[in-house]
Amino acid sequence: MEVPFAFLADAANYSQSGTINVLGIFNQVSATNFPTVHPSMALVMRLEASPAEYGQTKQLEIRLMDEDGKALGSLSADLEIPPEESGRRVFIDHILNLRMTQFQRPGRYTYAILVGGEPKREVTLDLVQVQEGG
Amino acid sequence: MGLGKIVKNFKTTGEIKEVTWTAVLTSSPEPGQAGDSFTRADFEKSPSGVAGATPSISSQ
Repeated sequence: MEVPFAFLADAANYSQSGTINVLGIFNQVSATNFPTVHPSMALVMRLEASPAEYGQTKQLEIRLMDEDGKALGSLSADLEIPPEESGRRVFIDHILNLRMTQFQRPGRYTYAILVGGEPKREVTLDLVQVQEGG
Repeated sequence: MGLGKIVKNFKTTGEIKEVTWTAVLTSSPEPGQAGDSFTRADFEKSPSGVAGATPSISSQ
């Protein structure tokens, strides 16, 4: 299983036809004071499985880490790849709306996406401290 | 195919607290149907621990 893309955005949703609408892709957040809480953001990602993985169950983990690699939180689930008969690759698009995420200090944070314990993609987020009114 | 048939045993820890997860099987979407959404609370309410048992689009 591969993760061909992943990013953070201000908001995302699906259209009725199954396409993704995305608003405001970003990788930096500014704050005047720390700890700071980011009220809402969306982690958007696509998981792509080959026909050889039809019917398998994969462990999916999203791990939030600080710049020292310390795990600050995680989200995990079992992902069941549907048994298809098309012989085509399977695409499963995910939107995770993350609310009220607290960041203790400025620095680089990473959302690591792991499948079966293997890191597949990382999304970085820089928390920057700015002057009041700056 | 609904998300509850794809994603199971959803757990969060630490700073990832309030999550609403939506997924769509885009390689074979059902015509005219958007993806299911659910929250951690949906799993906690479901005795089977299976997502999508009580789908929701609201945040916690």
